[in-house]
Amino acid sequence: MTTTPANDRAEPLLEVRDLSVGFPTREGLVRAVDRVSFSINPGEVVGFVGESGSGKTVTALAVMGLVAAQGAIESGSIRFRGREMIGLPEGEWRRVRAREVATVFQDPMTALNPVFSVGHQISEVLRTHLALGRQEARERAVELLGMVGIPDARARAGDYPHQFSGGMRQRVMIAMALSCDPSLIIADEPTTALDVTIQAEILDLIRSLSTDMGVAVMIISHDLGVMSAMADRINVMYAGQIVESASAVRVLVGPRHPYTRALLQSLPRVEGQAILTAIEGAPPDLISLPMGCRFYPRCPFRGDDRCRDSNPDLREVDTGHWVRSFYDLEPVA
Amino acid sequence: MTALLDVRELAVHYPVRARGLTRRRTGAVRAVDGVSFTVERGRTLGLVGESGGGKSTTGRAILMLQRPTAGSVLFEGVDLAGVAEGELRNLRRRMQLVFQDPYASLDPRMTVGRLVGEALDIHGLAVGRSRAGRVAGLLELVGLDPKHAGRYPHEFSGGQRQRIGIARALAVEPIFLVCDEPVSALDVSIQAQVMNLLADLRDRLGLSYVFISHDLAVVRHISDRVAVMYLGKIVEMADRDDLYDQPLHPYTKALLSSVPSPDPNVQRARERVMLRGELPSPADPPPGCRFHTRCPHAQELCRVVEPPLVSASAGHVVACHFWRELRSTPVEVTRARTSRRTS
Repeated sequence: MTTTPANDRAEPLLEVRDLSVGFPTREGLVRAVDRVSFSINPGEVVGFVGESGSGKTVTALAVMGLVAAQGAIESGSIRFRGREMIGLPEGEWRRVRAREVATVFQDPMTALNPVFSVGHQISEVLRTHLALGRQEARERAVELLGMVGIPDARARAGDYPHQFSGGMRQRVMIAMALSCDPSLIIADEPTTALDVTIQAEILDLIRSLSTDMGVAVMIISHDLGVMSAMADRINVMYAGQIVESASAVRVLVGPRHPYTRALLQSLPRVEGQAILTAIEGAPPDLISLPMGCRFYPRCPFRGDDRCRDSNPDLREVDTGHWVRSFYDLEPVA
Repeated sequence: MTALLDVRELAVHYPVRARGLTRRRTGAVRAVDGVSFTVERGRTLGLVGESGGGKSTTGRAILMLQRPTAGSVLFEGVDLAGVAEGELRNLRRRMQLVFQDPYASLDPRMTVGRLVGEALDIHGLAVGRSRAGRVAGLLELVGLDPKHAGRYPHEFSGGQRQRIGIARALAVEPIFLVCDEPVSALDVSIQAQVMNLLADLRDRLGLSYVFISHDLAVVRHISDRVAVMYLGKIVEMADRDDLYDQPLHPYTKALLSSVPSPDPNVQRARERVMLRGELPSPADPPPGCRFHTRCPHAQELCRVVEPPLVSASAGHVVACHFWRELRSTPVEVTRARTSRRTS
C-alpha cells in the first residue's frame, strides 16, 4: 500500500514525500511535521488548513528551504520539477526561491523595507534576478503594480510602504512575488490581517493570477471559508500530520475524517446555524503526543483500542480521497 | 420595563494636535459619532463592522473606560456619563469587560486563584474560606478544574485562558458584559467552546452582552440584535435574522457577500457586492453619507446630505437615502469569479 495522496495527472510541479521536520528543544525533539506527502500540479491551487501547531506553516517553510536555520529536515523528499531539492547547496535553493517559488506572507509590513519606495524595491528584485536595466526594471515594476490592481500605479510606485493601506500593501507584496514570473506562489495566511471586504478582493486577485497566468498556489489558512473560495484540493492538517486530503468539495461537503467533520460542525456560519458542536479539549502538545491516533483524545467517535494504541496511516477511501483514520465516516448525503 | 442599557447619541472624539510647542488642536478623529441603541435584560447586541468603524471605542465608552465627548449612557436608568470617577467603581461591579487577548490581560506572575480572587478583594466581596469557595465556584462555572487554582496562566491553553478571563469578569457578579472580540485570538476548534460557554452563562445567569466582533458569522450566532458600524456611525440595526437575511444597507450587503462560505456550493452561488476605493480616514470622514466614496449606488444626494437612521420596518433601522429603491430593484452586483473546481 502506498501512503501518498497524489493527483494522477501530469507531472507535478512540486512533489513532497514523507517529509518530517524536527526542532530540538530543551524538552526534546518536537516533530512539527510528520511524514507529510502531497503534490502540486502546474496551475493548481492547493490549500493547507489547520489550527496553530498543526504544521502547515513549517511545511511551507520546508518547501522554501527555510527550516535549516532553526530546525532540521529529518527525512523525506522535496522534488521541484522532478529535481530533488533536499541536500542541495544554499545557493541552488536561493536560485529556486528567486525564480520559481514566490511567497506572500500574512503581514506585508514586515516583508517590505520601510525606507525605500515600493517601485524601487520591486525594481531591485528585477535587476538582481533578471538582470534588467534600471529604466527597464522601473517600467516593469509599474506594470506589475498595475496588474495587481493598484490604481494610478505610475505615481504610486514612488510611495513608501507606510503610505499604503493594509490591502494595498498586500497587493504590493503580490506584485513583488510575481516579479520573476514564478511557477508557484506560497501564500501563508495572506488575508488574515485584512478586513473582510479587502480579504475578498485579495483572494479574487490571487485566484485570477492562478487562472490567467497558470501560477500554482500553495495557500495556507486556518479559515475553511478561504479554503472554499480558493482551493482545488485541500489538505487538512492536525498535530503535524495530514489527516485528510481530497478535492475541496469532498473535504468541505463530504468529509470522511472525524476531525474535519467535527471542525466543520463547530464553525458558525454567516448563513446561520442553530447549534455549534464544539470539539472538546485542545490539540495535543507536540512534546507529548498521544500514542495512537493524535485526534483520539478529542474524537467525538472515540473509536476503539486500535485508535488509542496506534497511529493510523493515510489510506485512500475513494479515488483521490485520503483519510488518516481507522474509521471511515460515511459520506454525508 | 426600561432597557438595561440605553445609549443615546454617544460620541467619542479624539483631538488631533499640530506638532511643535503649541500642540494646537487642529481637528478631531470622530471615532464614535452619534451612536444610539438599547440592550434589553438577558439580551445580546452584536456590534459588527471593519476596523476603524468605532466598535471597540463604543464598548469602552459604555463602561466609561473612555469618557464620551457627548451623549449619554443610561445603565439601569443612571447616566454614567454624569457619574464621578470615584462612584464608577461601585457601578463597575455591575458591568465588566472581556478582552480579546487572554494572554495580554492576565498577569503571568499570579496564580489563577489570585487572578480570579483579586476582584473579590478589591470589592471586599469575600474573605477566608468563603473566598476560596467562591474562586472554586467561579472556576467551575466557566468549565475549569478548581484544583488548578494554584497554576499560572502559561500552564493553560488559549481557550482555558479566555475562560479565566471570563471567570475574572464574573467574580463581581455583573449583570452586563462588554465582550470585545472574545474569540478572535482562538483556534477554530476552541472558538465554539468559548461561544457556547458565553451563551450558556448568559442564559443561566441572566446576563446581557454587547458583543463586539469583526466576524459576521460569530456575531450572527451569539446575538439577538445586531448593529453594523461604519466610520463611527451605525448604518443599520435590526434583529439578527432580519439583518442577515434581509440586509438593506449597501455596506451590510457588501460585508455579508464578502465572507467566504465554507460550503463551496454556497460560495459559488454567492454574488459579491464590490466596494470601490478604500476606507477613508476617520479623522476626515467624507461629507454627506460617510459610505458614499465606496458605495456602488452613490448619487449626488449622498455626497451632500447625510442620511438619517430611519425605520424600514418594525425594529429595523437603516441610514441610506435609497434603501427603498435598492430593495425593490435588483442590486447591481459583480458576480464573483467562478471557480474551476472539480469534485
